[in-house]
Amino acid sequence: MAEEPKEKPAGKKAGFDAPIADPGDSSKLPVYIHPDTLMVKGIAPDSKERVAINLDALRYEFGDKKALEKYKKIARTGGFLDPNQTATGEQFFPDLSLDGLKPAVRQEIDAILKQE
Amino acid sequence: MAGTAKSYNTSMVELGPGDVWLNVATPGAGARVTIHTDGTPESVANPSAKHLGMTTEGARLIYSPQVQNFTSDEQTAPIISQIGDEELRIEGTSLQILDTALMTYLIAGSTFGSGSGYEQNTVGGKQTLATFSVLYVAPIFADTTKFLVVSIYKAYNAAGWNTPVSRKAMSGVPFNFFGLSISSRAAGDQLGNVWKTVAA
Repeated sequence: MAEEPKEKPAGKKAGFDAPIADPGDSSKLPVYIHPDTLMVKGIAPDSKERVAINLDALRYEFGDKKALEKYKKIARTGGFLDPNQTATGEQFFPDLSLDGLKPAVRQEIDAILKQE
Repeated sequence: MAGTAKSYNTSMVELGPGDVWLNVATPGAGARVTIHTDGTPESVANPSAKHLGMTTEGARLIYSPQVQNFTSDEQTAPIISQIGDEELRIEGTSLQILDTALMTYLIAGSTFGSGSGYEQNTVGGKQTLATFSVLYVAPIFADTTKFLVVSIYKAYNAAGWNTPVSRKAMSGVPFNFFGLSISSRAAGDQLGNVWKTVAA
């Protein structure tokens, strides 16, 4: 029997529910932290909702391999781009804006993010 | 029978300046880049956006279709025309040449590096081309709470790095952000978009 996708526990890592401690020097911030909000990139500081997909943030959250898999699935699902169709060796993994997507598409993307 | 109304409308006239942004978030199918009320890319929705800074004379926004005309021996004018190639570009000259992080975008094929006491761009021997999105935003002249926006989803600087250095003039780096097709997006929306905000 196929296993049901498990939901990832909310607030597992720092920067999703609250800003991280300010190191006082923006060059010391991890690449996945937004320098203005001190939250994980793509997470709105007020609502804690994800408004953009950033590959570095996904790597922090899910690890390198799963992050890339999820990024590619989301990119295709949202009609952003299909990374599998870009030239070999090309590194084009732009941030993906979740604003303005159809509700059904957004739900699919949320499901991809919640899958373990 | 009445005549037809003319459309002399200054609210449809644009007069700059505007701003160029790099590496904004790619919008999904049918969507647009999220713009803040001040006309900048919304910060959380565009976490990697980079401002190009000052330019010498603003920017030139260019869409050029190369139309192929087909003729018949029996007609004097083309009977079929279609777009064979198309280009979407944003051109200008950047003044902030000492911003090494910015130069990483402008010098195609370069790699940014930094350490104790230096920042650098190295070039040579890299075959892959770094690509990024480009966004132009300008307040509309007649209503500065609204914006004219041009977006290229994927581009590189085709102008190279060609910088005069002189005592009598400021140095600048030309940019020709040349749009590449994202073939996996829907036909008609593979290069970018031109839009403006209007009253909701």
